[in-house]
Order: sequence, then structure tokens, then C-alpha cells
Amino acid sequence: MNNSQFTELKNIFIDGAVFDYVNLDKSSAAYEKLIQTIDKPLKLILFYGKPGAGKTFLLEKIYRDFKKKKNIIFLPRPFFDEIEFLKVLYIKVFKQEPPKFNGYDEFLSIVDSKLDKNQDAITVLIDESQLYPNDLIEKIRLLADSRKFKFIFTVHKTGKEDILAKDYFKTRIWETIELEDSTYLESKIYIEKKLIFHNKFEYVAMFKEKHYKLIMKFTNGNLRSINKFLYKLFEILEYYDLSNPSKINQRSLQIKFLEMAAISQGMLNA
Amino acid sequence: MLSTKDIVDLEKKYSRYIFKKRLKLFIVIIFLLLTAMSTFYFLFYAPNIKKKIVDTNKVIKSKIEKTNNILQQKDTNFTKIENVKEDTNLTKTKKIIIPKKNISNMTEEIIKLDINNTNTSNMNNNMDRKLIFHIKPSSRKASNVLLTGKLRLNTYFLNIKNSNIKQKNTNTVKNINKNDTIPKEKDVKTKIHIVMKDINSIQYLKNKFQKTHDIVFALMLCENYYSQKNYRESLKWSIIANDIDSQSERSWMWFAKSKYKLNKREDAIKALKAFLKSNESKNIRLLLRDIVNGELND
Repeated sequence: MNNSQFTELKNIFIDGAVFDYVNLDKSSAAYEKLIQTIDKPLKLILFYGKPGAGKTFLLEKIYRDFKKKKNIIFLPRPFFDEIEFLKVLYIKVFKQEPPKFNGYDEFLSIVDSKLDKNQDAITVLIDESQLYPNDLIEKIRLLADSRKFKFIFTVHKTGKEDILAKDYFKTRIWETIELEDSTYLESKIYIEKKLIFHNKFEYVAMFKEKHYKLIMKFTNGNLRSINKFLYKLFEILEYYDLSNPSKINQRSLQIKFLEMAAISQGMLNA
Repeated sequence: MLSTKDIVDLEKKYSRYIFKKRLKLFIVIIFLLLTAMSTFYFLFYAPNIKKKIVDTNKVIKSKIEKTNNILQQKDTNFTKIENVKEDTNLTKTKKIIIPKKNISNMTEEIIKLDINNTNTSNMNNNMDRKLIFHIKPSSRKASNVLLTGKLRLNTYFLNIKNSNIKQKNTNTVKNINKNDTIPKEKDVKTKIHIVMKDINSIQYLKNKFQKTHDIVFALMLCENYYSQKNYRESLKWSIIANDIDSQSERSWMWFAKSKYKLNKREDAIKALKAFLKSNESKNIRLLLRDIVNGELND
């Protein structure tokens, strides 16, 4: 089957599949703050924002930027078992298979013996930490107390209050950083930069102000929602381009297709 | 890529969405229109209605006042007529009751005739009169008519029973009390007493004439003196009346009648003939015939 001009465009916006870190004002500010906290002698840092605000992308960006310069580990998926978590942590720190250990105490003694006493604390970036079981969170806190590790917990904004409410975090969270949803201008820049990164300059002109306003209305500036929305939009355009091209106005984007994409994504109540 | 089925479903959903969107827009437009119309009504139309009501009230008030004046004038005229005939201190009181049954059949004529008949029958008694009207509105319509002042004694249905006329002696003659003749709104549902008192005084008529120089008072004085058989005074006032209006038929009649009673029959005939030369009057001709034939009565 022949590919449409929109097939490639669609693929640019597959969420999580393509790592395009788009430097926006809000993400730049959060990035700077996170870098500063890594250098500070802090044990626990809370990094929160709405789902899809770009927290994971930012963590990944930090990991990519500093993995060769600093002792930094990124755990993008959540763990529910203590031993499993400790094993992965051991592999990431020492780049080798872990010895047999039965729990937190044994792990800590092994790590303590292997690491230099004057060595800086290893930064562990934990994504989706709101999914971790409470007892595992407690063990992570104890690891932080050992000063061998510092943890950056990434949580959804809705879960922030729950995490902070827990006694063991109330006094131990030393820094909190929030990543807010994008503004109208940031959303616009995000879409434009995404297209430019992938050399789709001619399609930047396809989006007018009214289109950006509608996209902002449907997605509330949430980057994940923008990705999903644009993916669906180009998927619809792809269909018409291949099956019924007369329905597509090649010069400008019809509002109808934006509304159809929003309906399909449940952003518009039909 | 999306399948055709996916797109068809999506198209259907989109059509539903567009329908809802337009419906909402339509409702909003209707709501805005209604709001605009209501605002317009309350801002511009309603005050006009209030103004109209106020104007109507003013008209009603003016009509009521007019009616009052007419009533007063009628009463005054009635008094004038009575004064010519009567010069005593006696006063008669008539009580006119409107029976409920006959209200719808009553007319203005009845009351007028009754008053005239009553007057005529009482003229010879040389008595002042006091008339009491009991008026009960038979329906809202009637009461409205009364309130708007169109009627009073014009279209309001009245009936007068002569049998209910009461006569009372009074020492003085008084004007008709305005408050008695014009019922207020709250009085409409209750009985309305209208008291009419004759003013029967030659002095009163003279005073009135001095103030107004109205020929009516002069003629009434003629009639009054004539009825008292004071033909010299009657003659004098007929000349005064004629000075005011030489074409007044009644002044010529009173002149001729007074002359005739003063045994100046020829003068009376001359005067009447002189009037008929330049005027045509059935009454003068009849009077002339009576005088010529010596058939003139009181």
C-alpha cells in the first residue's frame, strides 16, 4: 500500500516512541532546577506535574545529558518488589550481575563495601514513583539516609498530596519541583519544533492560529495529549488522502478534521 | 491506518456533534433574542403603557369633573326654575329609590320626566324641595360608566318612584352639595344619596344677575315676579332682559304678558307684532292669539 504524505507526520507524534526533547520555557526552568538539586547535598527531591506534562521526557533528557558526567541512574518503569528493585539498582550502579542477597540490609552492606567512602551520592531518577508500594518507598528512604544515594521521585500531581502526607516523606522531602502544563505559546512552539526537527517545514504553515487555539482548547497544553491528538489528526488525514483525496483541502487544514480527531480521542463530547 | 468502518463511525459522531453544536447555538440565539425583547419591552414599551394609563386616568378625572359641572349646572337651572315659581320658606324633600328589578330598564328620560313632573306638581305649592336619589349600580359595567363620568344622569339607569317622594319643610334654601352628588369609587357599591336643594330667592337671583349680567337670571326674575302677580317688576325685568338681548323671545313674551296683566293690552299686541315683523316664532304667535282673543291664562 502506498504511503500518504501524512503517514510520516503521524509517526512523529507517536507518544514515547520518538525522543524529541523540545526545549520549552517551562521545561527549561524545571531542567535547571533539577540540575541544581543534583549538585546539592539533598537526599530526596520530589518532581511532580500533571500526567503528560513532560516529566519523563525531562528526566530522560537529564539522564542523557549527565550519564557520562555524573553518577546518575534512571529507572523509567516502576518496581513492586524490593529484591527486584535492589537487583536492578545494583546492576545500574556496578554494571554487573548482583550477588545473592536477601534484602535491604545485605544490599546496603555490599554497596557500602564496594563504594568509595568519599564518593558523591549516586542520583537515582525514579519515574512513576506513585506506583511504588509503601514498604518499598520506606526502603528507598532508608537508602537515602545512608547518603550513598539521592533520589528524585517523579509523581503525578494528583498523587503529590498523598506522597507528602506520608509521615516518612513529610520531613524528608527537601526539595519540590513542579512541571506545569504548557501555555498556548509553548504548545505552538512544541508542534512547530517537532515538525522542524523532522524536516517537515512545509507542514508548519499548514497550522494557523485558529488551529493552534483549537488544539490548545482540546489538549489544555498537555504535551502527551498534543502528541495523541496530532497523531490521530494525521491518521485521519492519511485515510482521506489515500481513500478520498477530494475531501482534503491541500492548502489549509479544515477544522472538521481537528474536531473529528478530538471526538476520536474523547476530547470533544459528540 | 484507520479503516473505512472507523472513519464512517467517526463521521457519524461528527455529524451528531455538529447537530448538537448548531442546536446549542440556536437555543442561545433564541435566548438572547428573548432577553433583548424583554429588555426592550421593559425599557421602552412598559413606560409608554404606564404613561397611557396615567393619561387615561387624567381623561377620566377631567370627564368626572366635567360631569360634576354639568350636574351642578343642572341643579342650578333646576333651582332657577323653582325660584320663579316659589318664594316661600317651605322645602320639599323627594326620595327616589331605584328598585333592583327595574334597573336595566331605567333610562335618563325617566329621571328627567319625573323631576319635571314633580316640579310641575309642586310648583303651585310654593315650597322648596330636597331630592334624595338612591342609586345602586346593577353591574360592573354600570359602575364603570359611573366611574368614567360618562353618565351620572346621562346613561345611568334610574327609576323614580313618586310614591317614595318625601317632603320636608326647611327654612333655608341651599345649594346642591357637591360631595352628595358625586359618588367616590368606594361609594359605588353602596347606596348613593343625592340631595338637591332648591334655591328660591329673588334676592339670590338679583345677586346672581348683578354678578353675571346673564339674561337667564333676568328672565327668571320676570317669571318669578309674574308668578307672584307683581307685574310691574315682571315688566321691568323683561325690559332689562331685552336690553341684554333684544332678540330674546322670552323677554318679549314676558313683556307682553306683563303689559297685558297691567291692562295695557294694546301695548302687548304692538310689541308682539313688532317682534314678528322681523322674527318668526310659533310661541309669540300663540301668545299674540291668546292676547288678542283675551284668552291669556296665568
